[in-house]
Amino acid sequence: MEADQHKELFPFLQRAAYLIRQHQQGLLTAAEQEELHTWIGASLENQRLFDQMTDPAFLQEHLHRFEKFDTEAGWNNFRALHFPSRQARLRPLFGWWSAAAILLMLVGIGLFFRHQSSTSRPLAAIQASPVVPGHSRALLTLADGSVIPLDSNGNRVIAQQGATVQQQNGQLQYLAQGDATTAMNMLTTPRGGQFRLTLPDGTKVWLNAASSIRYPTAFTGTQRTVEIRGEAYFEVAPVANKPFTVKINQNTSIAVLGTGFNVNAYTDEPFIRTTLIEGAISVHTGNTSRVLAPGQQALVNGPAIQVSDHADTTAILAWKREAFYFQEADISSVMRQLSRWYDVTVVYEGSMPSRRFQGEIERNLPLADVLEGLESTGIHFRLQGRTIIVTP
Amino acid sequence: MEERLYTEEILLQRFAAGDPTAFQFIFRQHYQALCYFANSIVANDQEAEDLVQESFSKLWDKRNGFGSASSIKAFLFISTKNASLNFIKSRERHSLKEKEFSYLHPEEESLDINRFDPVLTETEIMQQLYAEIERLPNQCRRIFKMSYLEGRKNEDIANTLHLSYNTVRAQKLRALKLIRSGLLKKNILPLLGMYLVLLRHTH
Repeated sequence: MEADQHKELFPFLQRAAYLIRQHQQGLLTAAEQEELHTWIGASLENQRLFDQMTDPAFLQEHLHRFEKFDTEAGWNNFRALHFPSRQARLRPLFGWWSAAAILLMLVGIGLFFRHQSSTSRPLAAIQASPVVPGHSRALLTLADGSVIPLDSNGNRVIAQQGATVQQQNGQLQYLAQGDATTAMNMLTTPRGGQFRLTLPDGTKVWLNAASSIRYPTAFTGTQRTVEIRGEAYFEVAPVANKPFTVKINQNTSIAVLGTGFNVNAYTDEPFIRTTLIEGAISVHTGNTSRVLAPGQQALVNGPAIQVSDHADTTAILAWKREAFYFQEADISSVMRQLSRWYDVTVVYEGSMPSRRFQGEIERNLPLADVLEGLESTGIHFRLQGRTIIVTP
Repeated sequence: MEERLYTEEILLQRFAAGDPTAFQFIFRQHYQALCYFANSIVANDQEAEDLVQESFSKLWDKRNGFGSASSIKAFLFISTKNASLNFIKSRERHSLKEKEFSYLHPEEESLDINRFDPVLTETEIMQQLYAEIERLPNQCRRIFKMSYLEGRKNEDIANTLHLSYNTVRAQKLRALKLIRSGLLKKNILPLLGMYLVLLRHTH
């Protein structure tokens, strides 16, 4: 237990680092500002550190130095020395969690597999008919019921009564209009699709696969209300005296002030999860409501709302930066994500493997590469048409 | 809070049990910062990396003794600091010996965790700044790094990544919007400022 005496890690260091970081981001409060000034004045050493940490040229050079140390190369050296065989690395360990061997997939796994795939066992069935990843595509439903298919390389203006809509590649933008008559439009992404949308008030919406959003072509009243299904990320433009509401189902909605947040409301996921990145929102279901602070996640579980701190925003926003991110995910959660993005059906044969997965994979890889990566944990897949059969 | 502690507890359990993935997680978290820290003392990239590898080996041997993730971090930084200081001392001793001095007495370096260490503080801040860059979306991050850290020109980046010149500029703008620390923007801003002015004139 010798090492445990350092439980509180360098308290002074943490405080000084915190103050300088806040300063770099322009977030110091008046009291902190004063504290920082006192700290800088306390010694030449402090003054020097502060000067360096606020000198753009110093930071640029030193960040470059920081970057040059290659974690993956370092890890490979270390692993070769301490964990020589691959089997040993993935062998289950003691404890209840140990049944779940964990696969840590590397960022950039795609490259790794591409290099490997020529030498490793080919998944013949998969390579025969490659299942390609999703891409930007959606259906736009106008007020009169007509449906316009959109894909990733259209550049055009879609005219409809009372609204001008511009499509530019994988994005749709509504232009604000002074005396617009309001009509309802709906944007729907299929499985394997995604799309971006700018609403007439400037609010930006990223729509993940198998999702939809219904919205007016102009926000004319005292409220801005949209309805969503599936998963979306919102950057709501602040408009004074015009609150923004996202309706998820009959009971559940989110009230917004200018902010960024993610809603995952797929009906095949067990809960509706709303994660606040910045600003303020409140989540309502039935008679219950909870206000979220940045970094918090609300989980709507039947009539109750549970709020957790320190949501893993890297994981939650992975889809927005075009990646899958698994954190302690079980096989069914992994397969749900894959099935939405590759538009495939998943069937389990025999008992469901109890492994847990961790790591990040780019979403633009062919399905075969992703499955091959997952197979290295000992789970097996067969592909028949667009059905993946999972066997232990 | 509950959830975070739970996760940390699991991590520590796995770590203590010798789970390589738990160890890899910790390795990835601290490797670059430790190398940067050691390099600030020994001023040699390769030596710095070797010393850090040593610290991780020590950590692996002692993996049963840790009750929190921050005590693991403290252990890593303290052993890297000690090893780096010992390394410089032996280097000095070595060069002194060559000059036939032999009276140098080794001192045991004592480390008071409550004592303020500017190099360690610098490392902590650099790590957080770097994490800010790492959080950028994929393409945006790649372009920002090439431009800001490697000082490459837009045309050059566009050619390397097979992107259009305008995409590179747009991604740089996006990076600037996403990065919170104003200082990281300073060396890249003047150029982009010009681009913005141009846009305003042409549209």
